[in-house]
Amino acid sequence: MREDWQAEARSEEERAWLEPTARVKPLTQWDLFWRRFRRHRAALVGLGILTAIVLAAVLAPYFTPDPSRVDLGAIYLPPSRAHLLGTDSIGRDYFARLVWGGRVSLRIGIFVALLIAAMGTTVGAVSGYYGGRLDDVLMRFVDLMLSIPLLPVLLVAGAAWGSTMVSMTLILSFFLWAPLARVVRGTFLSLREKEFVEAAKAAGASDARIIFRHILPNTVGPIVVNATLYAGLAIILESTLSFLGFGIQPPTPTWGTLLADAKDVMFSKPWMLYPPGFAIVITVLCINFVGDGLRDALDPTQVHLKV
Amino acid sequence: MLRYIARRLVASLPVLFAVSLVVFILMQKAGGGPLTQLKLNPRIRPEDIERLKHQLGLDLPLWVQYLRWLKNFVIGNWGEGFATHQPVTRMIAERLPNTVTLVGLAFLLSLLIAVPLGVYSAIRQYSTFDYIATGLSFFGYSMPIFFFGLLMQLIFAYYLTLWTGLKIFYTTGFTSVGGGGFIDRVQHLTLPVLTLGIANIASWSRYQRASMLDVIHSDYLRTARAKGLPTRVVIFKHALRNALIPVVTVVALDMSTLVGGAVVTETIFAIPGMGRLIYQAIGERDYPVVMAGIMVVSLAVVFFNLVADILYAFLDPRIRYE
Repeated sequence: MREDWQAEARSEEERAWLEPTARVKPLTQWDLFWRRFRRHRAALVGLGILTAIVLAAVLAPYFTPDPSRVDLGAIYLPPSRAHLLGTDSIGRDYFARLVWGGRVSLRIGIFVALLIAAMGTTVGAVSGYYGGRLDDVLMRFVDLMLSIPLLPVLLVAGAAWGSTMVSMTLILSFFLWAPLARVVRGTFLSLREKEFVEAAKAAGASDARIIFRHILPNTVGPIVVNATLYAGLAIILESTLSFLGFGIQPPTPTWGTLLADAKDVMFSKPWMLYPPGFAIVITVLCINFVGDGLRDALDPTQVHLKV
Repeated sequence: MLRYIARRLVASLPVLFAVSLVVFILMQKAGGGPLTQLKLNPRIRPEDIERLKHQLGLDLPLWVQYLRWLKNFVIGNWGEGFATHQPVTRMIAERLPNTVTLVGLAFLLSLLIAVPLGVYSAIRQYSTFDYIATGLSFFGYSMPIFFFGLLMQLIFAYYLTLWTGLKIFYTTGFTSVGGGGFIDRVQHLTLPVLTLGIANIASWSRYQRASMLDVIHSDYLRTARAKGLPTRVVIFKHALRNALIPVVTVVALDMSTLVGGAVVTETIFAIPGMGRLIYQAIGERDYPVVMAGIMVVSLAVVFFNLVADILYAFLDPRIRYE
C-alpha cells in the first residue's frame, strides 16, 4: 500500500532518471579482460583453431578408427575415403594416429602448464613475500635450474623416465618451472611494498590472507601468460624427445613418434612428414598467439621465450 | 672486475656439481648399461659378467661410484667409452671443433639477420614489413627445430634436386668422404646452420625490435632529432648502440639454447659433433661419454652466462659489479 503511494508520488523526471541506471549491467573483470583480448585478431583466430584441435582430440574415439589396428595388407596406402591420410608402415590409419597423437601432446602441454604454474607460483610467492635468507636459498636454487643445459639433460631424463605420458609431464615440469618462479617472485617483491598491502597488514590480516587475497590476484596475469607460453614449449620439447627416441615410446602415437617414423621414409613418402609436423607448428603457433593476446589483455611486461 | 669474475666462477661450481649429480643418477635409472648386451649372450658365463662388473666398478654403491667419477673428472681422467674403448677426452677433442664451427656459424648468421630485421621492424613499426616479420618470427619459435631441419632437407636437397637436377646441398655429414674444399663445406653446412639458427633469428629479432622501440621513444633520442641530426646518425649512432645492450645479454644467454639445439641438428644432419656424440652415448648408455659430454656443454653454458654478465657491465656504464 505504502510502496504504491511512493511510486505514485514520484515525478515524471524522477522516474526517467532512475530507470536507465537500473538497466545497465556493471562490467565484470571478465568483461574487461574479454574486451581487451578480443582486440588481438591473431589471438582470437588462434583460440578458435586451438578449440577445434582440442575438440578433435577429446572426441577422437567417436570419429576416428582404432589408431593401433594393424593391417599388413594395407601398408603405406595413399589418402582415400577410408583412410583420410593414408596408412603407415604397418597399415595403421594415419589420420587416427595423428588425432590420437594430439591427445598425448595436448594433455602434456596442459598439465605441464598447470604444474609449472603451481610450482612456480608457490616458490615465487614464498620467496618474494618473505624475502631474506629463504629468498636467497630459493633463488640460488632457481639460478641453478636456469643454468642447466636444458636439452641434453632432458634427453638423459627422458631416457631414464620419460617413456609414459605422466612421467614425461613430470620431467618437463621439473625442468621448466624456474623462470615462472622468478617472474612471480619479482611481482611479489614489488607488490608487497604497496600501500594496499600495508593497509591489509594494519587491519590485522594474516600473511596467508595477504598472499592469497591481496597479492596473488594481482599476479594472475604474468602467471597465466607464462604458463600458456610454456605449454607450447612443453609440446615442442615432448615431440623433440619422442622424435629422438628418448620420450614416449611407440606404439603410443604422439606427434614426435609419428615424425620419427615418417623420417625413415621421408624421401620416398614425403607426404607422411607434413601432418604431424604441421600439427605441432599450428598448435604451438596458436598457443603462442593466445599467449600474446593474454599478455596484451592481462600483463604488459615482456617475456623472453627460450626454446 | 677480476674479483667479480673469480667470485662468479666459484659460484658456478655448485651448478656443475648439481648437473653432474643429476645426470649421474638419471643415467643409473635409465638402466641398460654396458653389460646388458653381454648378459643376453649365452656364450658368456655369468662369472665373467660379474668380473667385468667389478672391473668397471659397477658393483660399488652408487655414491662411491659417483665420488670416484668426480675425483677422476676433476683430475682430468675422463675414462674410456664403453662402446668404443677410446679415451673420452680424445672422442670429445675430435668432435668439439665441428660443433664449435656449427654453433659459431649459426650464431653469426642469426645475429646478422636478427639485428637488422629487428631494427628495421622498429623503425617502421606497424608497417607491412613489421607485420610480416612479426608473423614469421611467431612461426620461427613455434617450429620444432627437428621438423624445420627435415623440411629443409626435403625442400633444398630432395625437391630442388628433383626439379632442377642440381645437387647443391647435402644433408649428411660435415664434409664429403675424404674431405673437400671450401665449396664442399658450404654445401654441407648451409642447411644445418640455417636449421640451428632459425629459432634464434625469430627470438632475437623480436628482442631487438622491442629494445629499439624502447630507445626510440626515449627523451635523448627526441633531443637528438630536435637538434636536427640526420635520421641515419640518430638511428645508428644514438639509438642502435643503446638498443644493442639488452640484446647482447640475451644473445649470450641463448648460447645455451644453441648448444642444446646442436644436439638435434647434428643428429638430423649426421654431423659428427658433440651433440650427436651425447645423443648416441645416451642411446648406448655409455656413462663415461654422457657424463663428460654434458659436463663440457654445462661448462660452455656457465661460461656464456658469465660472458653475458660481463658484457652487460662493460657496455652499460650504469651497471657496476663490486
